[in-house]
Amino acid sequence: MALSKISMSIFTICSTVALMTICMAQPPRGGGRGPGGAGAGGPGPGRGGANAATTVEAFIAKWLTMDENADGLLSKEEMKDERLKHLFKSSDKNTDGVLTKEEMQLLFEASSSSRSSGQRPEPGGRPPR
Amino acid sequence: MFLRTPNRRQMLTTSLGIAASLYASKGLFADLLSSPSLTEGPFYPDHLPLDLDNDLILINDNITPAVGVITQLSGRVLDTKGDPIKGLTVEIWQCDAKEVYLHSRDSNQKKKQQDANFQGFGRFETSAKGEYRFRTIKPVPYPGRPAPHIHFKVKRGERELLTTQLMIRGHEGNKRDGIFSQAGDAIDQELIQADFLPVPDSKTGEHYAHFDIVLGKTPEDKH
Repeated sequence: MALSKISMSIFTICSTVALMTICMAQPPRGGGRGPGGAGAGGPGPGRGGANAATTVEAFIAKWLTMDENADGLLSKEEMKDERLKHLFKSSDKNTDGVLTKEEMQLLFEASSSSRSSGQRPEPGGRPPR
Repeated sequence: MFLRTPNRRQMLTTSLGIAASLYASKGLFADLLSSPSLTEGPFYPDHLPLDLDNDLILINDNITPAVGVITQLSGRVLDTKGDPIKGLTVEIWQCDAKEVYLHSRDSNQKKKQQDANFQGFGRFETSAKGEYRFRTIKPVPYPGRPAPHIHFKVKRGERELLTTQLMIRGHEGNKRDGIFSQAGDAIDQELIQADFLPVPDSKTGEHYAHFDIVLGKTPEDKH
């Protein structure tokens, strides 16, 4: 009986810790928004949506919110968002109709490098319009 | 006792597994990804026009249309499951073909330049299918904004749910544009673009664009 009580206590503690870890692992909402956020019209350009992924892990996780069978792959059948069909197709490098984590990573790296190098936003010192 | 221990351990593992998968499926799964919010900019009209309808090409009974490429702009407002959201107010505003906004801070110094026939702002209430439509001009670049764009606001009554912008897919100015570049990741950038294509057989050279907006579970609420 004593052992049973102890294991129940361990169970409770472990559950609490595990749930806390899961909750805390979620990215903070709105964390990606810069000083020129919606409505401000301030000097900085408005950072994208609250869900903007700044790391490759977050970017992959964003695609995989549509991964219905949770197998870590995004098939074209699972990808129901019409607005993203074009991006899905161009990112599916081996054209097998499935987006792997590697293909998602390639897209993230390509878009990050095009943003940080080469194409610089126009200067002008004007607030965003 | 010895035999029961593995069962406990098994129960623990299973419970945690269920808890994690419930969290994942309930909290994170979505059919559609939510549209990113973008800056409102400084030119939401300070004085709303008398004509607030969804035809920005003609003001009231005026017979002179606005200058620019007439564009039939339509789309739907959906939730992340793909269900339409009816009864929302969609507002759009943009500069005219001569690069003047319907805002005194911009138009006061550009009175001669301004296209007086462009309504500059319009409103529409989403239908039961979540649909909205406008007749407006194809957006043009603005000084300091190489990406042509149309500003959007989605409201429920007076409550603001989303402020964003629509840009032209593949426009050469997008990559040089500060707002576009900072719009988020590659998915976000994709979600703020739409094709602006010629209407087949249009004698007046009209274009059309379809732009769906998806509201997340906790849309921005400024009020």
